[in-house]
Amino acid sequence: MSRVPDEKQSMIPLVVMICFTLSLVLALFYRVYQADRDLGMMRVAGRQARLAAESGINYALEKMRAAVTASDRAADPAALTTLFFSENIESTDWIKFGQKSTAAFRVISIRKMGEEDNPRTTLLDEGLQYQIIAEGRCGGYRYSTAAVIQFYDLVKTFAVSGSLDEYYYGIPIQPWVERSGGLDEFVEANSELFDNGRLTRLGVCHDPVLLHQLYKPEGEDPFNPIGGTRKLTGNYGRVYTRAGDSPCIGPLYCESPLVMDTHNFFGPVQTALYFYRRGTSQPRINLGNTAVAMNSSLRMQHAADSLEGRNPGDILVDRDSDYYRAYIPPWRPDFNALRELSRARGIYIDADGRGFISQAVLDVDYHPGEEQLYSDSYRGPNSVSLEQDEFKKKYIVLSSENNFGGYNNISGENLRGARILFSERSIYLRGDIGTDLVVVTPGHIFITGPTNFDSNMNLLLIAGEGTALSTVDLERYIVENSANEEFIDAAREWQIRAAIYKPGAGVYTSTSRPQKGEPINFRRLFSGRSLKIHVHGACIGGNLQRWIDNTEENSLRITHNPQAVERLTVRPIALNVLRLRTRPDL
Amino acid sequence: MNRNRSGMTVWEIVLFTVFLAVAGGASVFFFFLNSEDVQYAQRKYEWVQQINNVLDAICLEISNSVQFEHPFNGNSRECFFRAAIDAGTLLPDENREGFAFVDNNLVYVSRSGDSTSSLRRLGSFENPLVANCREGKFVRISSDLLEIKFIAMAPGAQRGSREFVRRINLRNR
Repeated sequence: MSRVPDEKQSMIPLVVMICFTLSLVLALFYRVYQADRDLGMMRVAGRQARLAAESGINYALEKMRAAVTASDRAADPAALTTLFFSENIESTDWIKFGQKSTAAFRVISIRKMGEEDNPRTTLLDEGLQYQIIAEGRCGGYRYSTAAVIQFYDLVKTFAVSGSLDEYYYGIPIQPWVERSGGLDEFVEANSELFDNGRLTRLGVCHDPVLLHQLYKPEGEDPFNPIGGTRKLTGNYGRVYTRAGDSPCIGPLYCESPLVMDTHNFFGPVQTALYFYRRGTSQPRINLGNTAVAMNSSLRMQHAADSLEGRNPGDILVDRDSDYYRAYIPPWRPDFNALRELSRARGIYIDADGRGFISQAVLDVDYHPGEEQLYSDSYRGPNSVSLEQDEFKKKYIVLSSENNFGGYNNISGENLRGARILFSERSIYLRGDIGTDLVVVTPGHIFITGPTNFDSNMNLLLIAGEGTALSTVDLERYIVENSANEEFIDAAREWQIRAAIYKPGAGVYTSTSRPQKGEPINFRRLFSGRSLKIHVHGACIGGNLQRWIDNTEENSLRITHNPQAVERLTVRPIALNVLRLRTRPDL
Repeated sequence: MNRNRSGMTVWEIVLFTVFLAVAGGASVFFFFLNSEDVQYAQRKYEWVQQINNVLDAICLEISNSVQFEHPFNGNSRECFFRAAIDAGTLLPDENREGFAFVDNNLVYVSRSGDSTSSLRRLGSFENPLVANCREGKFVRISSDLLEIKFIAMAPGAQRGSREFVRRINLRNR
């Protein structure tokens, strides 16, 4: 054994002591850190358990929404039984929630509530309420959430749901965005409004005081100075007016605020945000004493009064709509499910324009074709310049009219009893349809004349890119037959008996062309006169403002027919959480 | 070698100093742990923790309310709401519950008809929920957002105060 030098022998206990001391100090620090961390994590775990329980409700809601849009059971709300949902969604297994946490949730119960529809609440069907209970856990904490989910049968409840948002709210930040040279520049100049959520990038205002400043007639510019060439001196309320009659004959739902002058409504009005009656105007509802649900109009009134120092008027001021939430989420069709449904039980028309019924080839001519299209000009809520839709479209024609040698490919005989027709190509539609039918396409549906008017069949139009108007056929007919004034006057009034998803996707005419700095508008289409549109049924989503801008002034009407989709296999149903309660499980 | 052993090396001086410093530091640390200041800080931490737990319970109770009635807008020293009745329907109860800043205390109250009583417990917390607080108010920021704000004075002989602010989303409105 080699001898260790003296000075090295004395070093060994020292080194051991140093290491020991250091490790002691490190251990102490780590322990203190851990104790602090544990205390913090306990609070975090409590919160996460609560969030997990509540996200269980949202998970169940999304599953229910998917089940409703993918199934033809929605056709009869009575078939949406407890079992239908609970079989697919309830579970005893925990579903992991979040990425780095140990939180988890499970949906333990979905039950249909046994209430009857209350006739006093016309905009709410108490018979379509479900109760969901979800549990959440994290660490040693457990929470459970009970929620009531409300289903809204959109066509049955509303004449127009979400299609007149722009008509009743306008595009309040567009002029400022245009002059700032871009949305980002405008947001930067007014970052405070956007940061605290008073205004969104689409111009929707969530603050009653700001809404008042924006829309007050003769108001000052409420925004910080913007760059650009021209400054604005007034607010949007100087150019915005909404007097006259509502195009909606029946109940109306808007997701954005409603700003009103002396205006006549023809049914109850519901909005997810504010109802603002400007100045001393007196909007009316021509309905006697029907239930009116106008959310937050009183709050708006308080904001206006505190700024103007006046007492509230005595008309149309309603408390918060108390017994239900005012917001109804938009309905979205599930195109894959509809495609499968039409392949199995309806007519499916493939991308080449060939038809199949129940997967067998159908010997019907759908007149496939192709053309390049330019729409009218329009401005979006935050556009910097005029916009125009331009595309090359492949299409088919569904027609019962005299074109194509009188060949009617939507007669009852040619539809072979199918209740759903799905086309991969866009669709030109005209005439009366021989059966109750859902027409679906991921592209556009172009309405080319009076549709389904002489028929008493149900019709639902679902177009992914929206339903548009096309006057090309009518203009050609007028030119070819040198039609007289009387004929034109009769032919330019189109009656449409249908429920339409995403109406207002533009107007297309034979004079359509690329816009070159000049806005294209079709108000004076037939030697100074234009289309008149009257929809009997309902409108869901979309934006009717473009149809209003391109048809004869004050001519657009949507008359509610609550039974418009009663006999169809697809029914637009929206669902939302009505009430929610979270409690710790002790 | 022998020359080195005659006196202390630099190494030994450094080590001696280090150990002296560690020993001195440790004794100061232990004295510090036992001191009034740390105990005061610990009590203050407990007090803040306690108020945060109470606020958690209050926020949960308010966000669970089915119908929030007061304040409708602006701010107020009290808030009232209708809780859900204990059935699956979650319909609003007849009686109103609420929280109020009374005599520098935050109390949980129940209001039925014309009388207000403040004798109830909120979960595991006893009334008054928070004692000795000033400038307490409930602010209705928007139709579905409520802010609760107060300055709590440290209890006993402790000095200092702390401001507490919570925002509550009135999801059932």
